[in-house]
Amino acid sequence: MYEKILFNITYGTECERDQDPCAEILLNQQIVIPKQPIKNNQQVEFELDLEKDTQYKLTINRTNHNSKNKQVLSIKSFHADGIDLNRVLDHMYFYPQYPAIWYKQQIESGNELPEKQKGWRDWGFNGQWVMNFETPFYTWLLKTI
Amino acid sequence: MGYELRNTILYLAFENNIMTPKEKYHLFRTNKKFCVAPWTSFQVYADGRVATCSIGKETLGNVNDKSVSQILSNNPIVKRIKTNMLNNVADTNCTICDRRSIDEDGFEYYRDHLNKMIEDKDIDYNDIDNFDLRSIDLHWSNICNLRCVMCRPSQSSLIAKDEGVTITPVTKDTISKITEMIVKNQYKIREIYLSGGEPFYIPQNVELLKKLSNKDVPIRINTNMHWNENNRLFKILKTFNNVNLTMSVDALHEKFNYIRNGADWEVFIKNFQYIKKNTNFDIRINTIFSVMNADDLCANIKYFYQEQNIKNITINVLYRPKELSARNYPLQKKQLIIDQIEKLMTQIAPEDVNLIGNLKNCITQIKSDNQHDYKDALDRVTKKNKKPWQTVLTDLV
Repeated sequence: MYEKILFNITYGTECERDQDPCAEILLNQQIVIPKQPIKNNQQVEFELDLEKDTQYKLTINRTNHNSKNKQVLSIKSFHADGIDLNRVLDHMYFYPQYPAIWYKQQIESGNELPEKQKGWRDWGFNGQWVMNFETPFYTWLLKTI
Repeated sequence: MGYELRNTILYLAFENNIMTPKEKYHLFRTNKKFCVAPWTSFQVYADGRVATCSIGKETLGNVNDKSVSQILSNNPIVKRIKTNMLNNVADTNCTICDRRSIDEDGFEYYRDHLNKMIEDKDIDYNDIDNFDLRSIDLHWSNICNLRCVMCRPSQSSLIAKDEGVTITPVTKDTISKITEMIVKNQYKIREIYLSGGEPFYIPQNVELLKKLSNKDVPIRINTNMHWNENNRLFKILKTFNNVNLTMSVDALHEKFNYIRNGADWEVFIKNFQYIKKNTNFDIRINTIFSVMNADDLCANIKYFYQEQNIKNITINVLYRPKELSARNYPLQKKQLIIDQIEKLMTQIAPEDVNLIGNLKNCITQIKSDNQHDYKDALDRVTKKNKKPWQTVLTDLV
């Protein structure tokens, strides 16, 4: 492998009725961390083996919001090899999956809802957070922050 | 895995890079003392002295005595500076950059400016003998048409004449060699910085630009804007695509004329409007904050920022002559200036972090304890002005 990068994510949660949000982490559709319920302040650590000169997509699938109760999943901190990637989060997008009925109501009321939100760290809706990056990882990082 | 095998694999993996991307990232983002200047840039003064940059305190050599490559490639001072930088150690050459008074995200100091220009380029920073020209700072003549009151003989031929100071100029042969060096590297140079003196009256600037075929090479010029559309340098500059004109202006109207002794506000404004209307040059305003313009700073910034829509504004704090530092402003009036600046800061867009940082610097400066009396210094530096300073700088009387 060309580069090994150790990622560390600290989640935050706000839940009503003891229903935890779930998260699954994928790299280019390959599961890195299987879907699991997330508690407040839970840390997840994983090492990625990366190929040279390759485009990657790191995805967090946020699920288990039933659209009835308040439930927020947040990224509290995000590190790679100990480097704080807080400023990287400003450049990344969250793609919300709006509840179908609510979405229809909003559209009918004339409210346009964005397909994606840049820099969102707090996710009330289910959806996907995506970080597109390329290798060499550190060259990409230097360009990004 | 054995150490040698692991290193071989790393070598193969990064054979196209001089440093590993990880090393380079940490150099540019983690190391707080690193600057590309000693590997990639140099400044030439009017008397031929060479420094790492306009901030660098030490003279590395003189181009009238040695070639540029001799000065930069095998010089114990340069090696020391580079070694210290690589080890994240403050070097005495770089104390001004190290002593940055604002430590906030987004505030760009000169080192950041230089680093940002070439951080995407692969340069062998691990080799302390390496020099790979990417930017150059040419103060290579003091020819000037003004006597700015805070200036000195090395940067104004008129002041040199007044004070009987002889500056041994850079020789023609040396000018040719430096010009050749720039021409040879013109497609990888990220900035040619022309200062002076007044660059629009310095003949070697014209000769240099005539020889450049790369019309995209970025050129940055400090100017007092006292020249006309028939100026030779101006005519050539119009053929370049990336020109930044940094206009020196510290106050408006009569006070501008007084501080920039010999200048005429009407001429400045006429040329400023001409440039705005007839060229694609980027315009930057550069203001020197001193005891002389402390109470005009806000009016000056507002005029350019709000009325003329110039967002690229730099305010440099004057440290020399030390008597004219804004810290020596009359004590009883300091709070008024601070209030004005703080109010102005609320009117600056948050994205203009440099300007906000510069204004904070001004507050820090004026809040500092008074150390010197400016009156004798003003008597001295304004003796060539037509009016006594008391008639123009009335707030200082």
